[in-house]
Amino acid sequence: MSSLVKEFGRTTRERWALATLAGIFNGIGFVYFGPMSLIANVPLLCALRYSPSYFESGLLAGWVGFLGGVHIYGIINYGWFLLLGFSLYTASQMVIYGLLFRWLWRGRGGLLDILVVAAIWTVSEWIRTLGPVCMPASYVGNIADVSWLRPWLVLTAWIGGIGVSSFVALVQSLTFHGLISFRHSQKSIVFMTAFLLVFGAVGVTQFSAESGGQTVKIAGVQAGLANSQYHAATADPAAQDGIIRTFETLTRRAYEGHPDFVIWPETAIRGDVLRDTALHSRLFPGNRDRSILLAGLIEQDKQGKRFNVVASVLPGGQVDDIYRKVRLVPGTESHLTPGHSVRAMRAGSNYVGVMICLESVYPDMARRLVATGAEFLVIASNDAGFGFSPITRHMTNRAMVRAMETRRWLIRVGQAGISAVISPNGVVTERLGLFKPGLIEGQIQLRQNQTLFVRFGDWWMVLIFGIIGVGAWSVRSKSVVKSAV
Amino acid sequence: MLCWTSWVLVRAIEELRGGQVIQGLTRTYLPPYQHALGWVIDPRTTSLSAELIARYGQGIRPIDDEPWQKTLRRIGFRLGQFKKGDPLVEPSLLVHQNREIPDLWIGRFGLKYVLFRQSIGVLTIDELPAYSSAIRLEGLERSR
Repeated sequence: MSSLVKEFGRTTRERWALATLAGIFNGIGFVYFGPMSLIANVPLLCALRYSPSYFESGLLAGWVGFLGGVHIYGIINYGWFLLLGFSLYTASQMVIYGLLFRWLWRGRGGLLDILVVAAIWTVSEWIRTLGPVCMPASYVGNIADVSWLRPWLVLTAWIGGIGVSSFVALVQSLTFHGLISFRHSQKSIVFMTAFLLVFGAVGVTQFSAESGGQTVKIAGVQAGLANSQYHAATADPAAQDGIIRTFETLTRRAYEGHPDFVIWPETAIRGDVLRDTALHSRLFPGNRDRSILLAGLIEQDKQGKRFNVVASVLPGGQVDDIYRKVRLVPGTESHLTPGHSVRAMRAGSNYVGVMICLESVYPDMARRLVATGAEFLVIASNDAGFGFSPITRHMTNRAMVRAMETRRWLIRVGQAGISAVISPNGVVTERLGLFKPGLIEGQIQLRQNQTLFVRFGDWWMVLIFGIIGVGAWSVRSKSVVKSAV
Repeated sequence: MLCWTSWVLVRAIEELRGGQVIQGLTRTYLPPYQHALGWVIDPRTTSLSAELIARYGQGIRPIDDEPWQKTLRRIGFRLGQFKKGDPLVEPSLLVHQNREIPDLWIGRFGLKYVLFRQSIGVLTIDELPAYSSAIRLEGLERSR
């Protein structure tokens, strides 16, 4: 058995079989079962070590990325091109991974080889957060809802989500090296395993960071509608009124509970609510209400530009501040104009960090919002187009990561769901499932402290590039020695 | 691997097909579908009488199997007949020779017509079905 594992991958057919298996594992980890990510790339690594060329390494890894990418099939409702584009984008990330492995992995099984495998994953994942059309995807997002991994997950407050993804890749590396050369790597494997356990123990001590701060009551409004209902509303005034009545009923019900904040999802009502005074009296908090409404709406300015916004509306109906979505979804939101300022939004005497839908997958968004004073975070979203596919659960996982990175309470309000109240430790304290109309209510604490991640961002990457640098130097030295001989 | 691919495909189709019935706060929403007449954007099995009350008869109690003519009177409409050639502007009932129940013409959406047909729901269609006369609904402010 042991020799089979060690030898498997020598033929081209075996390498492609391993790569396909890795693609499926990554897909499972991505959308179905997060802990699978802990071993997802092990078959690929087994294939890459026997790969004879950079070309084949790139192809094998790209195939893994493509297979993993197509598991996010929920986006197909927005167009085939998006699913294809996303899968090819993920494939390109994996090509980088495969090429870096081919370049830097020496096959000696020591500490450096183990670290290099974790580091190259981290680099390839980090690259996905760069550039104007980037689309981050992360191992930490896959495992964010796995409670037994929480001791490591809470460390995102220090090392960011990218750091915890490094840990996942490190587990993959340890498994890989344990399978192929345990005898040679024994000491390094034991050392790095102990390193991970120590980090976990440190993480446990961070659980107490959950408490503290002024307590406020919040209520999220989830209409639970399908997108087809919004499409019908564009043609039929009665359908539009049905949507308005749904939000009116739920919002009034929320006001009756006297929460400090009532939160709507993204583009809850797609009319010009901000200018329609008749709707203000139906929807906005009145003088007797004590809630501030954070309303996901479409805003149209005097030049006719349309923005995807969240407006904070004070008791009495006065609009206090407006956050305009900065990162629009490529293609599907091309009719909208992006905002140009990522900042915490004023809501009465408090500041709230708002992310609208896709913005929540970018680690720097929550970080910048908290750095500019956000005391809690809100994600206003509409995931109805994904149907019952697992994407919305994955997006909720990403929300957990944002809460843990910044140590802020976070309220995710989805038009169709999933809505959730998430603690700074990433624990979901309240939850409302998909396509269920209702309110999600809870108590949260306002926070002012700033985590290491908020202050210094991706400082973890300095360590990672340090490992890459040492790896590159080691490979180069080896080449120099070889050529000298 | 083949098993996995098949399983994912079946599951994806099940999760993504537009066939889910959504239980909303105010009513049940059925998935849209293509009909011989056009695209049914808001399917529902309600009668014309119930639809008229839902749209224009706020506070009026629906009565099962009530003829639509009686419903119009209860709501308080003055019925204005107009020629077939006149352009449709206000919500109107399109009376067909071969159909007992007229269609409710709701308005236009771009180049399409928006129509309610009993037992089918709200449709968007490219061309209006042939009708013998039209009854303009007058005398009530359109609340919905």
